[in-house]
Amino acid sequence: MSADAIEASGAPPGRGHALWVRLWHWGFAAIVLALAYSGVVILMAHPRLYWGWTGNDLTRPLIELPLGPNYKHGGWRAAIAFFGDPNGPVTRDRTYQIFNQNSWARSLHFLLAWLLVTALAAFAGLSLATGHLRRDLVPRREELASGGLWRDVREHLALRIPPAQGGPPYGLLQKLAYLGVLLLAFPLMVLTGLSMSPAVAAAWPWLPALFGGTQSARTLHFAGLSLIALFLLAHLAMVVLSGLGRQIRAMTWGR
Amino acid sequence: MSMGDQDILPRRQALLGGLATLGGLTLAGCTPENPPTYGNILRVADNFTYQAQRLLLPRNALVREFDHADITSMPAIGTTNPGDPKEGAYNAAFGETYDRLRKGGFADWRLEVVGLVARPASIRWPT
Repeated sequence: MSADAIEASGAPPGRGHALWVRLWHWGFAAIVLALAYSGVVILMAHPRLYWGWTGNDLTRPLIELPLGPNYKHGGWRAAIAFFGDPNGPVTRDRTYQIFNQNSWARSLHFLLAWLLVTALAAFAGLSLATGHLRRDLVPRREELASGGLWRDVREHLALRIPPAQGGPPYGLLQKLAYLGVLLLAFPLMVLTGLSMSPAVAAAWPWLPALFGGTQSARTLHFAGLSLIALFLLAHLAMVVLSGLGRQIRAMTWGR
Repeated sequence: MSMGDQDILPRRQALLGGLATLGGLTLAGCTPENPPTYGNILRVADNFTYQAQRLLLPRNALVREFDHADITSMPAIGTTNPGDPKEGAYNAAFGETYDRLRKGGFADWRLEVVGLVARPASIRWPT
């Protein structure tokens, strides 16, 4: 919604952010950043992504990420028949020392994942109970009518960003971005994350199968991170373009 | 002989049958105790995960079985030779025996099942 449109429609200035929204926002931001950090450390141990159920160092990856010392390593020494039997097991030594910090990174990632699920449940409950979801996040019919979405896209592409009002009402694309990341990206992260757990995959094999296999789920988990990173970049860009100081004040002190 | 021979291990179905007959006796061996945390908050979180798994997931779920083609050709075992004094894995006490058995393709190796068992046995590597 452009500044002119707000004036013309006689919409009230920003209502400010509710206390629970502010607390949730900064808490959730901290959880997501720490999850991204520990997740990337886990990924650095094996920066190769596969499709299907299996994948390992000696199979072809779908994507090889230029991430950390394990990317494009020196490779492998020649395969040696271990028992002298050409059909028996072979061994292959790495020519490099593998980077692997999975011990603490996984534990930290799981701790944060519990906090993330708790925060998502809290948001679902509070946004429904307070009407935040219905009032501020779900697009209204009149917003979508008569090419409202297309108009908002054009305004954003031209970088005509109205100055911050400090809180709702949100613009149409803004609403869709928040709903998209909360209803699609984060549930995808939770479900693909669970699919990678051997315990969950044993109990509910349909869950990894839903994503095409354990390794596919891992690849989609990374795709989810990419979506969330894209959202974060767009979110930060809009905060800066609409008035960084005003927005930070509003999200911290309320107005 | 290859590592893929399955006859040395009973099939999982056979194991399941055994589990069913042993019933609670087997499960009694799996105590719901948590591993020690050593005051580490990350280990406390891990224990929370273990408890949640025990609470929410069925206890008798089995992991997915994979074809041999799906398993990496880089074996997790058999990559070191405890009989080679030049290796870090060299074992002075058992290295010589291991080296002798390895040179014979483990044909002379026996797994002795002795002690408090109903049917003592001496199992050889299938050839």
